[in-house]
Amino acid sequence: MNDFFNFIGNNLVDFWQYTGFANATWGHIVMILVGCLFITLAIKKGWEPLLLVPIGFGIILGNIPFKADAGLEIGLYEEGSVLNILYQGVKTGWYPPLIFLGIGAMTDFGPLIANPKMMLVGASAQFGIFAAYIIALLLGFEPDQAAGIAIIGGADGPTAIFLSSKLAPNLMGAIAVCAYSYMALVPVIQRPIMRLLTTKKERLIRMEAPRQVSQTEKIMFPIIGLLLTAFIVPSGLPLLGMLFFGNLLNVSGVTGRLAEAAKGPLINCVTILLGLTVGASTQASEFLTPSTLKILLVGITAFVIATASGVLFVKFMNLFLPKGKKINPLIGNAGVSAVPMAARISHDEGQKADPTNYLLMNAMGPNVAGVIGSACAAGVLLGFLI
Amino acid sequence: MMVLAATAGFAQGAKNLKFNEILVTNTESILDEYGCRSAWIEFHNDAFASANARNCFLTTNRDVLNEELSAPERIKMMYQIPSGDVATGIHGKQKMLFFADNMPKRGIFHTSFTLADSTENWIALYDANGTTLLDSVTVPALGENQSWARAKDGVGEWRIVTADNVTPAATNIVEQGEGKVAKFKRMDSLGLGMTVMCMAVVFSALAILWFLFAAIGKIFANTWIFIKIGKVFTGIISVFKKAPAQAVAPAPAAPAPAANDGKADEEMAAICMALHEHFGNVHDEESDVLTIDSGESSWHMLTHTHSHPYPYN
Repeated sequence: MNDFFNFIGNNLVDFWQYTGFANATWGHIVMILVGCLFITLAIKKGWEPLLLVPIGFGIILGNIPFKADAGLEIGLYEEGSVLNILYQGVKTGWYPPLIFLGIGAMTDFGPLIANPKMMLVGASAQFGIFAAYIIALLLGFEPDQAAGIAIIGGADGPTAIFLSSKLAPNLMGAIAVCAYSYMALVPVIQRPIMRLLTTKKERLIRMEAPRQVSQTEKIMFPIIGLLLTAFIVPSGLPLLGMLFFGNLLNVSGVTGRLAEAAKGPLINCVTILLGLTVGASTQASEFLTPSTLKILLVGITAFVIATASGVLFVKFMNLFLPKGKKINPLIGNAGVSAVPMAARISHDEGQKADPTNYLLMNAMGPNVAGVIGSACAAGVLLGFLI
Repeated sequence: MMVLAATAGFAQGAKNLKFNEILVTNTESILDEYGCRSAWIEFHNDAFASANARNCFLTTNRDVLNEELSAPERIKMMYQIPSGDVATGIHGKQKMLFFADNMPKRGIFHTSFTLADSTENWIALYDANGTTLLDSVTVPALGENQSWARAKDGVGEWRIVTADNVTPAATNIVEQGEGKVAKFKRMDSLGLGMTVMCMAVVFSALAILWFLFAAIGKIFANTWIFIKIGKVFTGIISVFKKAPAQAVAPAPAAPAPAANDGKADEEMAAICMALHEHFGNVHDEESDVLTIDSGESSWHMLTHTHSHPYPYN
């Protein structure tokens, strides 16, 4: 009888060794709390819930403590585990182009085609990426790691994951979480900078509504856009190709079913997998390091500089534009590629200054230019450093 | 069907296999799995996709060049790489090594022939059909442990490589220079060069798009000019076409203008406009709300530019 109880006792001790309670560290607890915070922000505040809920839950999932040497094949980094298989889409960088396919199918490039000089505003906001690159170098990162971190300044989650998976795979989890977190905080980060850099008079500038764009122009845009950008930056082909392809599906008028699939079920499925696995990749041992703090610092600086450079560039353009054709600098922030969040902020800020001023359509131009710009910037960095 | 048959004649991607390095007299170079040294032949898969060398043939017998020989006669003169072993697969841009030791029973990487020391050797690789020559090389007389190798994997010029620099089953290019990242770290430690270069490229790409679509926009905005020119030309052509017909037989009297009162033209114009708008998709979805100021209506709301209220970035 004694032996039996010993046997039961030993088994219970063994079982205890496998439980999360026996293997938990402070790091796990902190990360689980971070995951809960993300979910709370998403549900209570409504900040990018479609991204923060999967990422937040992924953080919790990836930080459930277990006996790592038991060979259970459950951890994200354990070859053959379910999470590891799902993570391959992030690791090898094929989720981001699929997301871009959906983005292309959802995006209306009409406002940009109607007012193509907004391309330059989208380009100017990419300065945030390269300013962040300089800061990351000053903080001691290697050039390839610095480039992977700097792309956070593009405010483009899929691009950040794509580039960091190639240039800084060991920092990818922190970069992705940082990029998506700051994207959720775009309204908080951008508004004060926009107000600080514009005068009341500038905020009241009214812009003409963009002209109607014919379907032929809309069809020509993805084809010409792809040829041009991909010939200049072929390393950005996976992102640019899928972006323009998705858009062509949408505007061609004959592939409605494919466009619906790209902007509906496909992007939803990939978003779930991407969010969950990116979140799960932030295991405490990998995430709670001084590097992560530096990345968070560089990331927010990049967002601030990107916003400021967009707004200031519009003010610079206004120096050369005739009266009546001036651009409201409030749309400069939309040069970052957080679509359509950044354009909404331009619109809201414009309405605060003048409730009858509608800037949304005008802000969509630089906003979609920002998507193309950040994909180009990622391609250039990849071309230079890989 | 003929194209398919011709394609099927190639072993899987074998056409991308190239001789890359050959060592004839091996006294210090690589050992085989039996601990023996023998001549070796290295292949390079020049494609990025995987290839498989199974069923291909290796030979040093120039008699196979005789085009009058049948396939079975050729095959007798060659060593066939066995099938049924996954080891015959070569990943893209990777290498595969064969030992020319006349010991085919030692494994698939041991050929049924040897290479002759101190004299010229001709080696050829034939496809699985035994008649399609994939690659061949004439190796000059080499010294001990010297190899005959391409300067660049798969495509470069052939040259003699000294014993210290032979690279069995590895790339022929031994680079010892610093990598791109290290070079950027040394030459552009502050990142200013990178910033200027990248911003220039991004600005150029988007500026070209701007110019292009500004021009295209102007063309489309002035489409009516082209339509008008087209109509003038059509009118002129129709006048020339009608003229001879009228000469032969006078046209029937035109219907009295009062008969349609211009209404038929108006109807046609309305139908054309409707079709033009329908096929040209010039209208977006509208809210059905009429407003006085077109710049300040709810038509400008986001829901009309995005079919899904989705935060996609």
